[in-house]
Amino acid sequence: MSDRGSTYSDQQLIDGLLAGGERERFYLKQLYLKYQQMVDRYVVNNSGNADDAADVFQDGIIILYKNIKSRKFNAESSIKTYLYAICRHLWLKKLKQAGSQRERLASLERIHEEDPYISMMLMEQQHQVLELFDRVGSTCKEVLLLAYYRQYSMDEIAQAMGYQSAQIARNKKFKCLSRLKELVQENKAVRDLLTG
Amino acid sequence: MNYSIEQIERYLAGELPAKERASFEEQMAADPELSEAVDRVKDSLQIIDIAGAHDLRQELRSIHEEIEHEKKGTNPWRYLLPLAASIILVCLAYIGFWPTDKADHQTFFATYHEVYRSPMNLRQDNPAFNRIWQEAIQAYDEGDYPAALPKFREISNAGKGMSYLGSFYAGQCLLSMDSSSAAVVAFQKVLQTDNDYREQARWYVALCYLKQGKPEALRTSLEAITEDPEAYRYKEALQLLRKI
Repeated sequence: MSDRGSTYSDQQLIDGLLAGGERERFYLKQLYLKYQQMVDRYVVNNSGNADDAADVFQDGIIILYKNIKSRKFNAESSIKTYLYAICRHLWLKKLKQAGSQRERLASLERIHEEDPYISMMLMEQQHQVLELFDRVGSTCKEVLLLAYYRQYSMDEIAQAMGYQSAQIARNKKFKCLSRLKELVQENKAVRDLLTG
Repeated sequence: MNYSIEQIERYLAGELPAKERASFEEQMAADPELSEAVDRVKDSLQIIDIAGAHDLRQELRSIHEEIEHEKKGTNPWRYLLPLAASIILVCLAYIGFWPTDKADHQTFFATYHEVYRSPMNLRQDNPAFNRIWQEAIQAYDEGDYPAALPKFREISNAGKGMSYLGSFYAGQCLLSMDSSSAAVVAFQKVLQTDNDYREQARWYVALCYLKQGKPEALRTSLEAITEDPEAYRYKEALQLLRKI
């Protein structure tokens, strides 16, 4: 599809993302195609370049995604208005930080439940957290991300990971969560980062 | 501490009924061990959240690149379609010319073979490694296995902690490109080290033998899978054992 924009309605995009599974990437792409230009134009017209626009837009989608998955966002508000507001907020915040010489704060992937906007986490700190997560192993990483972040059902996880039943997927999920919990228990430095 | 991780998770998700919740909280106040366990699960979920956002960000970057790529009019399907057609032709030729039992194997192979889902985005210290990994995933997602293969091999040869994943996906590419003998070697490399893709690799080794029409080797590898009912593709291995 080389056309710009997407003909999918907000409701279709939300339903598609909520349904999850293999088609999720398709709906993410439709969302991207539909609203990229709007954010691009805003950032570029406000002293940013195309790369800044892409960063801000992606941060915005990450927040929107999280809120769709946790059902805090529904089609009553329009994605357009919502994304515009988030991206505008993020961009103004970034400009302000650049102004106060805090550019080293990287773009951030830690999201607070209460705060719809991304909270700050230094790149180096994020690195330590991800390193710890790596240690649960690739299969556990996939199971945990699918279960908790992508919100796949146990049936979908069983299918994606090749387990013969939802029950096995469920057992694996809790086994992996326990393993991660143990790793966190052993690593005070990361615990301090999370609470700090 | 009398609570399972499942109950802790439900408590944190706000899924416990009011009465259970109250008693859980009471227990938590009296049992520092439980209270600490709750904090650790909370930390774990926060880590998954950070990693999930990181993973989603990588996916969005790849979508961004794909869109830019398409805008420039270089549609990967333009060269993928002839490739797919030639693979189908090769398969048809196999079925047409091979003796019946081998043709059966090919039919079973077509039924059971599924390209393994593309890997989650990985994060490594080395930016050059990250770039190769991203390119490999992108090619793999597009079904361009000949392009993905050398990149996965490079990761496999790098000898770092992720080399088993490189071997595993190199094996996937090879199997999809009809090079099942080379694929066996790649999957066996995964089986030689201690990692959590061993179960998956074992199943794909079996598929390679199926593809090659080697009934003895196939039977042995399937039997190994069926020893553990929680193993990857246990049900399929059992079915296949019955059919052969």
